[in-house]
Amino acid sequence: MFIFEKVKYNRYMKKIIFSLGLILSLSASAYAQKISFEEYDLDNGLHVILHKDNSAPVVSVGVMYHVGAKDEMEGRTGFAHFFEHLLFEGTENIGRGEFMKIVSSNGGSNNANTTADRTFYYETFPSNNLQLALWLESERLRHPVINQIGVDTQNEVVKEEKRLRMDNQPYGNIMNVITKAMFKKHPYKGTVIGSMEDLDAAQLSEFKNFFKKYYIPNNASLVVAGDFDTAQLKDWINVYFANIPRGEDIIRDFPKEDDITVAEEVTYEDPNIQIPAYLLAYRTPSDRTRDAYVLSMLSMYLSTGKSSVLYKKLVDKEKKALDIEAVNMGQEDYSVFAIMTIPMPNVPKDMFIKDIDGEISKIQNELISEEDYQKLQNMIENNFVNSNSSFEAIASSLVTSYMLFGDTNLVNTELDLYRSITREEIRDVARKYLKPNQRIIINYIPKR
Amino acid sequence: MRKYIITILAIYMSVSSLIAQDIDINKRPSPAKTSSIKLKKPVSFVLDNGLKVLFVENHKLPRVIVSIENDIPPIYEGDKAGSLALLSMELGKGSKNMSKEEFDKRLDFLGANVNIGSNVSAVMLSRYFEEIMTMISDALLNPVFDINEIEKSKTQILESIRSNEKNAQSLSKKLSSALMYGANTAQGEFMTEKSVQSITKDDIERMYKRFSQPSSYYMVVIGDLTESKLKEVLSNTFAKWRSSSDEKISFTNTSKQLDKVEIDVVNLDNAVQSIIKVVNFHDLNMNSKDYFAAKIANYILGGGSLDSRLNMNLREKNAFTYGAGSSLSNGKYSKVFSASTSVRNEVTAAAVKEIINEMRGMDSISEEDLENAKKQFKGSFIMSLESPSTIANQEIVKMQYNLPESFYADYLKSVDAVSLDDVKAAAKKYILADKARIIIVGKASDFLEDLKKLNYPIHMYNTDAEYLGKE
Repeated sequence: MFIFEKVKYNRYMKKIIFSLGLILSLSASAYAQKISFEEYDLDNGLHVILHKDNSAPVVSVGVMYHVGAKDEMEGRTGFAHFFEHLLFEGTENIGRGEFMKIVSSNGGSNNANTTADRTFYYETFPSNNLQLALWLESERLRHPVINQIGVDTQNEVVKEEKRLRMDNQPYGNIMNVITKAMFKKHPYKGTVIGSMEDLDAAQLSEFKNFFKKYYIPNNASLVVAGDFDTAQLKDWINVYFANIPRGEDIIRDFPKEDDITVAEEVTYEDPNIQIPAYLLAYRTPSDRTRDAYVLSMLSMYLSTGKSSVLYKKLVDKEKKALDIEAVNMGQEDYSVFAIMTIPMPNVPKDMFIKDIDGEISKIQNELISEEDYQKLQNMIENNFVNSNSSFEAIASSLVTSYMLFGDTNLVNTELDLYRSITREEIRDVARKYLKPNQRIIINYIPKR
Repeated sequence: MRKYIITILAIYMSVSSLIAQDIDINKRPSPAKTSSIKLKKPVSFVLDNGLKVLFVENHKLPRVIVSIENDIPPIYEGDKAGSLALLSMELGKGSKNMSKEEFDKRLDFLGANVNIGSNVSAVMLSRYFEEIMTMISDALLNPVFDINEIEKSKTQILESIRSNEKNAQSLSKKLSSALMYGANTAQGEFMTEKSVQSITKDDIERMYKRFSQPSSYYMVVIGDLTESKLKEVLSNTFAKWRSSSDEKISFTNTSKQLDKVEIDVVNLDNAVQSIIKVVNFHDLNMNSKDYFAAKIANYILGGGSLDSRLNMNLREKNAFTYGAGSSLSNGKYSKVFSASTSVRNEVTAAAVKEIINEMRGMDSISEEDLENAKKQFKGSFIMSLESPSTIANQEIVKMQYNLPESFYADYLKSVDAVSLDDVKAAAKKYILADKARIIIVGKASDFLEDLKKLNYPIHMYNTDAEYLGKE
């Protein structure tokens, strides 16, 4: 149906930001019932995480590689995601085009995704195909076929993906505009999808080197969640993964961003829209930090639910905005806190900025009410309970907690972390990160 | 109602090695034997007012998921197009007993995700179930249609319509329906500024009365709850829902099946891709003898898998697109075959040609294609049982389509029974390459010349589905 339904039901801007998802880390989620797991390392450095649950005959297997768009060379934006496509083209034992067929003809489903920080490949199968799933992932890591026809084909496919998801969608390039505006030195500035020119320029030899450097067991983690027999599974993991040779450990030393001390403004024209969107974007710390959790709570206070301060004021009561969303987009090295609004006709941008600054100022000077604080805690609990409701989701949460947050058990302790955050911390974090001189204003406007 | 267990045996061949030294790591492993699958039956009952309730008790997570949906046919609104949409926006804005502000505040405080319109979906922590259900039923049964709120909603809808004027995806949906069914029919019409402006509070109240018929609704409740608690809560809430109308809303089928191929083009200058849909109508029912054969035919051609014929052709072989696929819907009110994809403008004509070729080429499918498809169907079926809502949805489908009681218990057997001839015959019957309507929204100047070389009649339309002439 039409977009108004999304305004009511899905808060479509959040859908835009989150569905572009390439920059978002999957937030490690807690489970009101504990998620049990065991973990260990193989000698070659592959980290293994197992979550056993025999209540349904399904199993989800995934391998996360600690490489993403931030590892790209200059002039090669989009490379890591392009490479992800190449890893479906075949292996020494799997012909070109066969990978997908093997999965579907064995009753399974599969996918992969790339962010600035990591690349994740996963399959979900009826549990009698667990061995097959492990074999598929081991094949990819052991001896994929990376060749020119794959590069030529996937170059075009990735460019079509960019067109489909971004260039042919209203507001489709917002995430790319944000990353380019917020990062000048750190490689996050590259965007995950990349530019058409850089995609065309990528060379076969470069892909082969990328594979050698980053796709090594000591830079990867295997996760299995669902219906299995532990002894049999460990045996198979040993057979398929243990003799893949370790590679050189990866050392990263990315340039740091300078703090934003003077507000800036950027403008982007989108030919697919009639109504502009305005964003206020602030650079915030790594999503591993405690402050990042506080900022998430802050974003919920501002715009989650119809009783949230910005929605209630700007959309509901004063009818100045069609929609408004605040979100802290977490990543390993830096995060971005953004407030986005789509105005109703004839409402000037400055009025929004004034109103939003007014609400932020209140949070910086007074504690939020006890009632609102409890509301946030209830919302957080509701989210957590619902975010680990499938084996696939659990697998993803476990391996993300391990690889990007350094602590697999975060899936169980994160709720406590939120519960320990005080109203004072919320106020202090607002003071520290949301000052008007620390931001970039983004004018995302219709192309004339 | 007693729950009972239906046991299904899924039979797979082969046994995999248990000893490490026996495993050849270069060899693709075979599937192991599966254990038998138990298909539980959900609790199912009907309230006195006709509301059908399906309940699946599941204590894995401390949450309850509720959905309430109707199967009322599409209604023609004509010059008041948008009335149902507006009604949906106005429902859930508090009630006669609770102001909108209090209502919003309380639901947010409880941490719940609740969407109330002419259908309802809600996800909540189980300890708040009773309070939230009370609020939802109150909002549905005692709505307030406030003039100021209605005006605000209208403005929001109008802004949304305006915001989509250059949105290729939404234009493709709008134009496809308008052309397939007719722009002056229930399934083809679309809202305009004029139609939305003309809607009054009375119109909304009238529409509300037509929809407020509990016997047209199905409620699904999944989660951390007992049957007795659910019944207790319902007796205080939804059991009090009285029908506002005796009207039996009937369905008028206005689908316009072509007897030869026609291409309908809508030019959008800002588009960087063409959105292509190739459609035909059909009469497949879920209790048709060839139902499974038809679904398998669609799967091989363009079903969800990335190795479908359409995807392997348009994406992997030709690199025209990020994805191509097809669907064969067999809803009560929608029986459509549709193959679709988005491609860069320049290759539009080539992509159309390949889609038609694949639709025509179903005679070349092999036993191997069939075997692979069967494995996918059976595997997906098994995997769908991970979700507790699956069995509830299956019950609803059986009710809505008058399916035999054992339809899902027999699912795996029914899939196995399909022969290659069955699939080929179903493809001929339901996928009509020679009578398809091809709808393209894209930058016409980039592809029109090449499109003419395909030798199909080309009709141009504007973004309001008005006919501009032949090319």
